[in-house]
Amino acid sequence: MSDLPDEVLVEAVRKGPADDLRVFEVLAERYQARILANCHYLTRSRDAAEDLAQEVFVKAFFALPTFEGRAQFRTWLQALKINHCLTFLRRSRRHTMVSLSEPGVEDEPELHVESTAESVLASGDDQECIARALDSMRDTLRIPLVLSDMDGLPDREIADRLGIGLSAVKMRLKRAREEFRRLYAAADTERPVAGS
Amino acid sequence: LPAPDGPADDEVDPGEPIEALSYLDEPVSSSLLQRVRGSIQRRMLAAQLVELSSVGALVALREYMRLMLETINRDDGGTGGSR
Repeated sequence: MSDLPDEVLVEAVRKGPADDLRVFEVLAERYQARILANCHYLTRSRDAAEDLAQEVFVKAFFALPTFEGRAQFRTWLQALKINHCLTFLRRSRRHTMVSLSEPGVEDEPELHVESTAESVLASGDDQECIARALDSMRDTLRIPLVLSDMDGLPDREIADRLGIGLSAVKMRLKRAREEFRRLYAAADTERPVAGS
Repeated sequence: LPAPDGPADDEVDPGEPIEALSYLDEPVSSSLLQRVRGSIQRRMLAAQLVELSSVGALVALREYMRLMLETINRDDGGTGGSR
């Protein structure tokens, strides 16, 4: 069953008995690692990510009857997840999206995270380096980066979802990518030294 | 000439995407699916209980109305018979 495409599984869930979760669990298993990672790097909290991922799947299960199949299941699930995570961020007031449109925010010293590079260097694993680099980035840079490069959202959609201008999104992405590459390159260069 | 609202957007080149992020995932604990399953089952149970209680209330109300009508009809019949 795990080899079947999403569309077939979704149709099986919709037509099957309401209390039979086995098919839905195949879908959930297929996307759980990705959803969990997305939730983690959008919220920067591993603990919250577990809860958010759980809630996203529960929400998806009960919303499945309204899924019309116009988009791919993956895209639909991704939209659910992004909405859920952004709502969580707004509620927890940990995001700084409001400040994205404020003049002068580009020059905030907090946007520069050189000091956190050390934590990246301490890691010996690619995945861990990426995780630490992302975790060390501010929301204003990390969230657009995750939405763009991890979720693959177009710039225009990111602008709409974050309530900022398209040019602000592009500027954030430019800075975020530069920042990420710098942190990651430093980690990659220094890894043998850190390990010795 | 570019459109009036175009230049600002086009001036910034956001650069190439970070490819490594496109396939980044996270180790998942085996408990996540169990938690999802438990949460779904709890919500389904709660929905069934709500449905059951609302149906129960409606049935009780219907029975009450039926008994009331029967009583009224019986009383009317009894009164008519005594005359």
